[in-house]
Amino acid sequence: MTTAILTCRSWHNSSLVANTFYVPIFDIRMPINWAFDDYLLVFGNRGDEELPLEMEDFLLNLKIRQQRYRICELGNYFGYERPFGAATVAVRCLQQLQWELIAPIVSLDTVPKIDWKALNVLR
Amino acid sequence: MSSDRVTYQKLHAYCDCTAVFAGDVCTELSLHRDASIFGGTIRHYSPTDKKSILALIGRLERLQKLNLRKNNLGTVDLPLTQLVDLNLGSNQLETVPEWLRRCPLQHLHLGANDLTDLPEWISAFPLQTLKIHKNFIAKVPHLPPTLQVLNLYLNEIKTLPPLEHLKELTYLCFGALPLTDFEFDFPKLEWLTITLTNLAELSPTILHSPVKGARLVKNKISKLPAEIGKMQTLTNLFLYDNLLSEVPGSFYELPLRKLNLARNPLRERESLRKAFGKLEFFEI
Repeated sequence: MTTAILTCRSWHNSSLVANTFYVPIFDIRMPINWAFDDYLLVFGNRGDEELPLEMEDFLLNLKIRQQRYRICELGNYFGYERPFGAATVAVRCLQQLQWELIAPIVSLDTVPKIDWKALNVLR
Repeated sequence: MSSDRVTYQKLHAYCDCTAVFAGDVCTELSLHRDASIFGGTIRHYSPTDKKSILALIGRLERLQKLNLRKNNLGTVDLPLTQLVDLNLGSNQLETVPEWLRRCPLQHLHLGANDLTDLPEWISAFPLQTLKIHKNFIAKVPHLPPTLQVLNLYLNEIKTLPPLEHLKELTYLCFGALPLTDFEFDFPKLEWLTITLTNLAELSPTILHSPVKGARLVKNKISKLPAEIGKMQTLTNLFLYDNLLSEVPGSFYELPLRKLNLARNPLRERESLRKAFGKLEFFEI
């Protein structure tokens, strides 16, 4: 099974995380090779459980359907009723294109430091 | 048909919105829907369309409650004077709209914007709710003693504003500042969040508050009050990522439903697992 990462190179922490995976990384602002078996979306939370603007634009304009994907969102909502932040928005967008979420969402704690161990479930 | 109903019809043809009427008067309007993908129902409309929609909203002169959350409006200029409850969260606001001065506000949500400043005139409102989290505010003016809900989290504040006079507080949230200690004197406090500070000890003064839920994640707490077990209203306790090596004996008397003790150098993990392992939520 081949995996590729979808992220934005200008997001510092997301790039740090993406670079620890030995798979191709595509910047969502550029053309993407859709020949992979699944895609790992890596993005942070902005504002109140919102997507970064680039990811929001990417998902709004996305046309490709029925891909398999996983999510690693940066930012953790310990103790809140809803355990996920912007990942919920991404999932709703991709549901409309019949993308299949193939693994539990990883909400990565990054403040004050990145919880690298939590990424192991994605490897 | 009343003018408010005509205006609402036009709005409804333009965008997804919900309203509440008292007779023929539109008293509440919302352009936010939790179940929608992005929350704000006009978030991706063009600036011209957003302006037209705001112009229509401006005609609803007797609006008391308005929810414009998560619509990326940029600036919000409305000739409204009767708003009591206003939600402008997540709108890329850079300044607090001046026109708010005309309104008898009690509930104000300005969280997740780009505010650098909170005007002094905010202090004059008999506010019950003030949410200004996730902005870039360095200084908070004197807070009105009527406040029940206060969220200051993640701003440029280096020291907390005076909070001792806020005896009506039921919800308090702050963090991401170099705080080392904090005394609790809030006789009605039920929900507390303190996160990303240098807080080393949870003061026993917290025992005087009827706290139901406490999120105390990512601090430096190494000591809990010896009589913490007296907090018999406490059902949700999140102490993720602190410096606790032990908990006091009375901790086991807490009527918890949710407990997170992960990322603490705790010694007595087995007894904690045994006591709390069957909770609705438990992590250690």
